[in-house]
Amino acid sequence: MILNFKKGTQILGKKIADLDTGEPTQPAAQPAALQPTPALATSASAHAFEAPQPGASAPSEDWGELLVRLLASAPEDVAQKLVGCLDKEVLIKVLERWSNPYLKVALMLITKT
Amino acid sequence: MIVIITSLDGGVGKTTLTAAMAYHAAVNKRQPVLLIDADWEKAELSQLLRAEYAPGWLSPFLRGEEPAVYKIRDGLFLIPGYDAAEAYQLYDFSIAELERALETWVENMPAFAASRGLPPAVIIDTTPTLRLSFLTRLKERGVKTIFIADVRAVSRVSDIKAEQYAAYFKLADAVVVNNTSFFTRNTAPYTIRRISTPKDLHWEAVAKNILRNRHNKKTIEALLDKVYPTSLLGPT
Repeated sequence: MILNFKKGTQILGKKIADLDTGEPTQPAAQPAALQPTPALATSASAHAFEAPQPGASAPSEDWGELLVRLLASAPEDVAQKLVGCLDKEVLIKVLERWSNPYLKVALMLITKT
Repeated sequence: MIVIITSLDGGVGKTTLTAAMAYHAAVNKRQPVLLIDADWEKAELSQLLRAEYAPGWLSPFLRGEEPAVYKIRDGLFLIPGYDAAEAYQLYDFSIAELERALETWVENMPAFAASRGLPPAVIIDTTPTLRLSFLTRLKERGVKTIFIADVRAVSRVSDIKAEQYAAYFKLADAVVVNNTSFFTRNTAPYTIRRISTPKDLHWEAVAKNILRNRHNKKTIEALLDKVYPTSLLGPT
């Protein structure tokens, strides 16, 4: 792993307007709760799947986030049934949007089987 | 204006001092502050402030990602250091690379903060024993250095240790001695007296506990006055 100073300097020097109007700095968009730009995120407990963070400006309409929250909070048998009804690729796509090392490993395991 | 909190030994209270200074500035003086958790060994400030895992200050260099900026409370923001601590464990970075990344932050901080509506007053919490050459370069860029130590700084453990401390003292804009004994009270310019550890290790509880002590509050106020021009963090 090598640090990319050119890219790093570009990002630090980039105006927030540039970030908002395209020029994505990462390949996949993440839910805003885990990809906060200035003043977007609020400090909260480490558990990402608990109730939505008060004050966080994550768009609550984000269907992927809502789906994950629903599955995580539903009774296990209901969640299992729902997961069974959903296209695996859709779920994988949703999970891929979260930047979390544990999820990355879990995805590797899921996609392997 | 950027302030870096540094030390020679670990566990002397860099993160606690950072939290107390930030609390006093943001809450008591209503002067906004941006914190950067550049402790690439442990990222303890991010944990103390209960920030979620998210791209931190090293992410622009690691993965080309915009760093997360957490609003801890009104007037207090944090750029976490989780990914730097993770990368420090996983990859073979040279210290020079991490120093260069932090130096790039310092260089670009005014533009970064201004373009994102963040406060110009920045406090960087660091890992212990940053190299003198690095601190010298930061100083040349206008960064103010607060060096914190415990009683080892004045107890002359060995001549070598004494020389090391002397070199850091020389570079520092302010030297703080934590957990002061009767002896150190009159020898160190800024001292923090021992306080009872709150049951809830939440940053606000820790900061409030420190500031409840009149002497400590005076120290924190004097430190803020010392490192920030009045235009940024003046008395309210």
